[in-house]
Amino acid sequence: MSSHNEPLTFEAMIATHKGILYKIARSYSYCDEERRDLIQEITLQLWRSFAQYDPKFKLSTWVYRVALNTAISFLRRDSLRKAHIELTDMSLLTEPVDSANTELMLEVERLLKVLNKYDRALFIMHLDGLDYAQIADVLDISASNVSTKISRIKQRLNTLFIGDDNG
Amino acid sequence: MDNIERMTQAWAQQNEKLEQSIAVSSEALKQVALLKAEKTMGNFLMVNTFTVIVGILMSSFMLHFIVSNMSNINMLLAGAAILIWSCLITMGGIRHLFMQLTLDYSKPVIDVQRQLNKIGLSVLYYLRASLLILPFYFAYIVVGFELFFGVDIVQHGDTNWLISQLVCSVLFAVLAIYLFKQLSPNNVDKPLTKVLLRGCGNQAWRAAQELNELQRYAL
Repeated sequence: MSSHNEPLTFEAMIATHKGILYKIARSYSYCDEERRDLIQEITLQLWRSFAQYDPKFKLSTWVYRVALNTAISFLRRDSLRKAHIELTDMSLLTEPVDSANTELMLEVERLLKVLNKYDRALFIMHLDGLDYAQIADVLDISASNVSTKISRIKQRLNTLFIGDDNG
Repeated sequence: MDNIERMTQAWAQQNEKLEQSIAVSSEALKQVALLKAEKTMGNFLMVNTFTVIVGILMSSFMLHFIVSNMSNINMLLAGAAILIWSCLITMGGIRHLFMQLTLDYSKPVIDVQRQLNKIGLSVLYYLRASLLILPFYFAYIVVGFELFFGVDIVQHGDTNWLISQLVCSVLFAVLAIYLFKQLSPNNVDKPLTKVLLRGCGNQAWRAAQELNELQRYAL
């Protein structure tokens, strides 16, 4: 990580925000190959936009914007997906080791994928602990709209949990 | 414990583990940074560039035609109708090209996705713009006869024939207005619009659907 006196390098930025990349890629992909491809695509987009990064904005907000925009566009472009798989054979991020809550995490990811792509983006940021104003800033909707949407999503997810418990 | 609470806790625990276990491959990062491939949206870039080039050529030609036929009011009006239409197409192409070239992924998600879907709908824009020339089809006949045969068809045409052209123009105007309204992305759920949009390609139909979804979402 760069100090306050040093300019932020692209590599340092990726290293600091690798978690965001990984979580968004997992939430917007449906298999390992797609996930690797999406991580590459987000990284490439971050690299393209990095020169225009304005330090007066919070870096994490900027990373969320680029990553979510890329992930949502990625879902739309079925045909173009394949072309990007060839970018590099190497994985940018190593896979995390298995954790005790893997099963629960798989369930969380399954439920996230039930949501539409914008609700999914919103709820990922909510789970990541961003406040309503920050989420509103990333998405460009009002904070009160964020609040309403979050309570609706929670209601929906709870229903799904209950449905699963009964099933 | 509440289900959402469990979900939030699992997510937070995952965060900690991710921080510890994910490593960034510097080698792969360098490879990505070296890639300057601009593959995304290449097709739209091509369509819009082609439209702008054709539009500029056509506008220039029509301007030349008008200047050369300043003394003839029939040619002037017919040429002006086609010139306005070709300028409309050219401006649309330039606007779409500008949107594509200035697309900034670090702008808010709703803004960027709206812009991306509008670019995806550029084919629809051209189709709608093409409809506008339908009532002025007679302008093409007038200009065509002048260019190919050096004849002013309005002066030489039979009165009944000219009236029938006028009636056709009015009928085409009604049809063009109806189709123009139907082809709005807001009508994506209407059966006729669905058929017409799918005629422009599935991409346009999906873009129209998403644009509607976005509008509802941002409310």
